Amino acid sequence: MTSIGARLPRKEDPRILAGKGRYVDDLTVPHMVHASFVRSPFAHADITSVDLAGARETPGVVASYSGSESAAGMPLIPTAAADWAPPRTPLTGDRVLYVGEPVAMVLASDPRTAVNGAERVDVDYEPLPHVLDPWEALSPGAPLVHPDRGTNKIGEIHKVIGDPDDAFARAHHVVSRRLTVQRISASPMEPRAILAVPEPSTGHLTVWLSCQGPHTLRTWLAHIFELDESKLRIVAPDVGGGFGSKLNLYSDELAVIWAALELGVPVKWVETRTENFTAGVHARDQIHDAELALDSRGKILALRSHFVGDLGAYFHFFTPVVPDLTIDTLTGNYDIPSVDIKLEKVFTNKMSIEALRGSGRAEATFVQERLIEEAARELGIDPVEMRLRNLVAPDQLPYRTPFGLTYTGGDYPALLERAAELVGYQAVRTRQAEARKVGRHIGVGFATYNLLCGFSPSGHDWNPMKFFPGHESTLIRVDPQGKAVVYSGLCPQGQGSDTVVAQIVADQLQIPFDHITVTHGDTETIPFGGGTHGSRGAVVGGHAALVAAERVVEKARQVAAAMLEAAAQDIAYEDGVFTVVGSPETAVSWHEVAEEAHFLKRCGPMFEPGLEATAFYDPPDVNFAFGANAAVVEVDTETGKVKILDFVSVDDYGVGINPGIVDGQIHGGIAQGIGQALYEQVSHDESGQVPSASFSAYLLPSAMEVPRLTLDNMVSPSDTPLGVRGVGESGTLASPPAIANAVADALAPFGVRIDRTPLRPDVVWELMHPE
Amino acid sequence: MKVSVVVNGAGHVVDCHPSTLLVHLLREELQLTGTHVGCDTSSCGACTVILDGAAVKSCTVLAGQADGREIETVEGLGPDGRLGPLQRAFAEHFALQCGFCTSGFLMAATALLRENPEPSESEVRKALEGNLCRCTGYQHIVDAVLSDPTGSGQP
Ligand code: FES
Ligand code: FES
Repeated sequence: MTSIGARLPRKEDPRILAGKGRYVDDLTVPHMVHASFVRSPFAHADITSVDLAGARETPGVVASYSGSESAAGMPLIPTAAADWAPPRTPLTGDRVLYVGEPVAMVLASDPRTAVNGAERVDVDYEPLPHVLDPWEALSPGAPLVHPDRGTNKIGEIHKVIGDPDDAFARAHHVVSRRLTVQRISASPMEPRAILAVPEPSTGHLTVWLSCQGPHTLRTWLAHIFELDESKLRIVAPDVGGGFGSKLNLYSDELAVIWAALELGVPVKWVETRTENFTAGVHARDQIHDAELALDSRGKILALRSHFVGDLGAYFHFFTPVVPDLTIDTLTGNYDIPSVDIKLEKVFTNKMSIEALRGSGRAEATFVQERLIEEAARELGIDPVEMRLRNLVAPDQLPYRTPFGLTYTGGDYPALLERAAELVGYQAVRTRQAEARKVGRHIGVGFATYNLLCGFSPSGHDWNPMKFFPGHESTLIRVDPQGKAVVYSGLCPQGQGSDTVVAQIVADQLQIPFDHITVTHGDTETIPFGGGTHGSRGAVVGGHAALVAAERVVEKARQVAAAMLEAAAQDIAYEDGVFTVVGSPETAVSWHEVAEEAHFLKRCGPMFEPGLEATAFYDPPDVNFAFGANAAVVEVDTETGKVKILDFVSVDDYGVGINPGIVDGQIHGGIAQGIGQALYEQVSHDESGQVPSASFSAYLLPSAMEVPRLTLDNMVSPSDTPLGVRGVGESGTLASPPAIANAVADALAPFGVRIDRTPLRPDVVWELMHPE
Repeated sequence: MKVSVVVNGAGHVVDCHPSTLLVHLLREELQLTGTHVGCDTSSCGACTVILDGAAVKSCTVLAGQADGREIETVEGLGPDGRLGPLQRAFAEHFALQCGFCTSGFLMAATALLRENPEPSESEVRKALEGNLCRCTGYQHIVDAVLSDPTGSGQP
């Protein structure tokens, strides 16, 4: 019986499909009050007064708080990623630093009354000069986001490896571009939501939170409010998507918890979509001045990128380290001996940057793949051939990158060649030539990716975060009937890891998939957990489940040995039956063993009763998944509209545990990549307002914009027991540059430069009409 | 004001404020929380229900406008609380991940399939254009709807 690799149905589907999902907004508890926030309309301003009288007079309003009144009682919020963070409190007292920053909170008996009350709060502001552009923020005399620092520059990392200066000096050709990866939003379909339920008589607090990992947040919550962690319970029920945006405890969420503790009543808050766009974290937002040094055959001698990361006004959980990930992943799958990479991180008057599916690595992939494409064009080399000349070849593996990462396994050139074959590369070129004759513009673009994932071994460079575990835990408890409940430290938001974990456990315990229940997301029942992010579900959480299951089987073997009056090492376990090696007729079933483990009726106290085991799995290293994408687009040069005609993704994620789930992860990642390439941008106007703060202005791709995707995969098992690599973020990396490259290819006759995304119709049209 | 509605075949009379939206009536008064709210600009379709046979975004309808009318929500899709054929097709095709958008897609697709039992892929995509999903990339949803779940395409 093998479950791994089978397209088994997802555990949670029947419940959700019946409309019985349980998201935070679906929960009600007695005496619950609802919160609504008053937020800054200014990018930078002093708060001169806050008048709560209007709110307090609104019938149904229970309480209201302003940052200026309550700031003294409110804790400072640290970051996980650095020792220092700009001071931030749940409600801001004296000065706002971005549009959407919470300054007051109104609590009422129902959500609409809370909103009405919040609308009646009067806040006076004294606007201050603000800075939105990262280059301007770095220039002398710019308004300072945090004046006591004396600069908007947060820090700089400069890595020079090999001899890039020499490479550029002797290069046959240098290609240089300023490439921008715009600010985008995770936009999970479920906005943030929280229900904080205090129990004043005992000092306990339960927080129902739409999040990606409750244990880490419990530790943070205890730390921030100086609470006893043993009295805190955080539960993530069904979570409607996260993509990195729900790894945080946000200011407003902390204000809700603060109010629940102050008032001693349950407080609920559900974010509106508009709030999600302004007060929910943003992502990406990097500008690269990047160049490649090339020899005459198109071999890359060196990569240089000096880039700026616009981090916004404050640090959320990972903010200061998100762009760091870009540095070490900038060479991707390519064999580039010398690098010169400099990152400057900058404060601006915007919401913070945070992790978002593919964070850091998606920016790197865009830069490297856009540059290589341009290099191919300038040198007159076919773009596939150009890549083949530079990809790390299978015989170079294990390959150590200039940054010291070690790639093992896989065949990068074969992945690209397969993508070219599936997209019908030569036929597309013919079609392109035909179309051009009649004034139609078709283009084909390629990109490869290498996804650093499986975050992260404890003590590893990629795990610098305080209170952020790189390991994962699983507890497996078998009942007397032989059925198992698995308590997984993962915290899925749609990734389907309950099913994946059950498949892994089913194979080890050799019991039916349907006899396994998986539970997650509750600090009360789960031993501990790092949660779900960074493509770690299968490769870290999966292995925790594997090791726990192995331990359960070991225990069962001892019980069977006692029952069969043999030594444990002489007991074989196959097809759900324990036998004494050499005498297969001496057998007990899994069910009999499970029963005996609990009741000890047959052999008495010969072993410790019970049949359960816990495992904490700390991965020995990070992992890598890789692949290649190909896109065919048609650009309407009249309107600037880009239509994707065909999209191919060939991926190597190692062993796939459930093909339905894996394909879904890749589809979803590519759809987000299509959004990044063609539609999505968090925009700020000159005053720092966010005109894109709705789904009518921030366009997520619909079923009309995402074409049918062609997937294929190759399997090079990783050096882990399960052979898995990671897949959650795969689709987000190569899809934006593949599409941008296809647009550049389509518009090549016009000499148009594609240096930024999104390639919305208005943007493309302007590129075509530069005056 | 008093609003009387038939929801999934059962009649209800609800006392609510004139500004109450249908989605809030369903979620808060009738505890039918399978219908979700994903935006505040009528853009996401998470709140889609069937009102007198047509798929509508229940955040764009006042409770009062539903007075005397018949509403179907995800909770009424399957017979006796079991899953109906389209719901089963969603599971078979991995058409949901986080599931937050799912009830909206189920209702929009149900309305489509009643009107057009054998839609083409482009007809399915067009009919689902008003529903956003951030997780699936739509392909598995489209496949589920195209899988002829009700068997009406059988000869
Ligand atoms: S809630 Fe988004 S359309 Fe109704
Ligand atoms: S399944 Fe998550 S939004 Fe559609």
